[in-house]
Amino acid sequence: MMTESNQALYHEMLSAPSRLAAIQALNLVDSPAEEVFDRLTRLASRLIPAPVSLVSIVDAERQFFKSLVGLKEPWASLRQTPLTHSFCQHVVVSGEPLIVEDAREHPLVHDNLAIPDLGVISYLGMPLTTKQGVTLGSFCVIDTVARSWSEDDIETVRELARSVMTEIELRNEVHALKAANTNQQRSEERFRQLIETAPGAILVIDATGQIALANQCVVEYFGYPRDELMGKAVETLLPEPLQQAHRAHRAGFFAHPEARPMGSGRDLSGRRKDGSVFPIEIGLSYTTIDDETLAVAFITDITERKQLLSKLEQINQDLTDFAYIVSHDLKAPLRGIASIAEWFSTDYGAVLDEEGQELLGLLQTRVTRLQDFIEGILRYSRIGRIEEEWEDVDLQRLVENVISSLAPPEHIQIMINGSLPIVHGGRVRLEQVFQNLLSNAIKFMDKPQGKIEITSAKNRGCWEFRVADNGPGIEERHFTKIFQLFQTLNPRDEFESTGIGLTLVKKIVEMHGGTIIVNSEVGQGTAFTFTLTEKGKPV
Amino acid sequence: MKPEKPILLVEDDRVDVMAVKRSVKALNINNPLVTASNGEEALAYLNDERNPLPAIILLDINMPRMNGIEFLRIAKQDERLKRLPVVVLTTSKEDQDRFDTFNLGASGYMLKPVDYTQFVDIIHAIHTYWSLSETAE
Repeated sequence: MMTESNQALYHEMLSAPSRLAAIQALNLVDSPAEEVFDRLTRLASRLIPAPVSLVSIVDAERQFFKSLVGLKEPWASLRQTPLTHSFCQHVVVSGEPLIVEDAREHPLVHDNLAIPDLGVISYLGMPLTTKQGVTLGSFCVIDTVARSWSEDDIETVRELARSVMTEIELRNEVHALKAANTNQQRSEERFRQLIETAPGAILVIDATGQIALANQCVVEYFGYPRDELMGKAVETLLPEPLQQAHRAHRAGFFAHPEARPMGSGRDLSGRRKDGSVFPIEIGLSYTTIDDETLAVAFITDITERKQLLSKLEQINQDLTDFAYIVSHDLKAPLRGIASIAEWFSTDYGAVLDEEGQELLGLLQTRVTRLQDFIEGILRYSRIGRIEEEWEDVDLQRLVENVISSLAPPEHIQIMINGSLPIVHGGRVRLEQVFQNLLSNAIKFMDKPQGKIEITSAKNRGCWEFRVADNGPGIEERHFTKIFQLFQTLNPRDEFESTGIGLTLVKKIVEMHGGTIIVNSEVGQGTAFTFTLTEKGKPV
Repeated sequence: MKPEKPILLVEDDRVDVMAVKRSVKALNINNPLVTASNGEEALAYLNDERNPLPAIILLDINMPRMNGIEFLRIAKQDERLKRLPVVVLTTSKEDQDRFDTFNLGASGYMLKPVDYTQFVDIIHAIHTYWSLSETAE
């Protein structure tokens, strides 16, 4: 008779989650009968002999018969009973064999409903225990009469129970392998999808130069259906003239595989099935699978890029032509005007009154201004377009040269404080920077003793240069304006200025990866501070 | 330079023509000045055997109808004209123009200065040189 506390204990043990999980994982409960297990119950029934033999799996609420022999209906069809009818649960809870010679007199099971309902009188059950020590159920033989089971009987059932466990565990391993396989396949499928749907063409080539793998993009780029690509010599995808050289390159690659772009600096082309050719970019890599080295090529169709580049070149060329034509065609009539104004002055100057002479003078200065202006525009437009070779520039010497070529008047003193460093950049451009800043300082100097000072300092990895003067200064509200194209602060008749100089300076400084700012106090002076990175930064 | 022989100026810009005229006058150069406003006109003048052959041809490059280079090419293949000294007088700084000029056998390439006084100096130099130098005829 099971006491209440016993029942609670039984329930707790039978419904232990780890145990139930193990049963679930083995897929034993509510699964169809299998010949493997039926063979063993039949064997037990014949060998002992006993009318009934069961492979019984006990979960929290019932016992399920994975295999059964000799049970009467309805139990045979139901293939399960509630725990009230279960002898096997005792095997599970104890983890030990249960040997019952006469159930009606056995203290543990004498009130078990299996006796009246299933006719169980004698019972011999062995635990089915996993390697992990979980008892899933029991393998048992049952008789409808009292039996004194022999040692042989016991040993037989024990051995057969072991067979059942082996079978269960084997099936489990197979199951696990299959699951791992499915996972692997799923994982492979994912990666295959990745490669397949990649936005660029991916080709895998073996050492003999045959295509081992091609993704969808290859099909789209080259126009071959997939089955035609596999095993094809990769050279077929190149235009004829390039094929021979490629074979040699391929051999070299497999001899010394490395990840690199292919054909740096050269224009590569691919050839489609229909013979048409298109520009491509190729990145190479390699991988080793099962001791076999494979080359992996990532191909991008750069037709659009090439078109954009050529359009860009065209625009650039157009701009160059435009600038040339504009400046040339503007200059010619200007020269004419200048000449005529001068001849007019020579021939008729004596006849003109003061006002007339002033008018003529104004005409001449306007012409000169326009000529300077055009020249300035040309220079400015050349900045971005004409490439200058970058080199190490000794700024000390450069600035000294600029100063001497500017030939400042006696009352203006230009000093380099300390020494200027060597920087990497465009010599001519850098010269223009100092030329512009210094000539501005000279031009606008309003003090009887003019002082212009050039200094440099290292600041957070950059060189900082300062050109400071004690000139008239600039109002703060003009600080950004002065760098704008064609902006001047003084009426143009006072100081001849194209308004391009500072814009040029700013552009050149920025081309070298630097910045420029101005500080000033009206009446006191102005300081331009600009930075240049040591290594420069080609744009 | 034989003073009775003309100077042929091939130039379309009226102001540049005036510049040459004034320079010639200012320098007291006595050679008559003949102007043609493009290569075609110049050839027409030269091929008309009633016209005396010039002592020197001053040739601009950028002209309509037939530019200076084309004229030069034709003139230097013409048996009668090819030994005439040609000095190109132009605003063009194009390397190609310089190359073509000498490639075709011209005798000089001068850039027209912006300043008129310098322009006079150029004409002076050309005249002095070609007065000192002998010519084929």
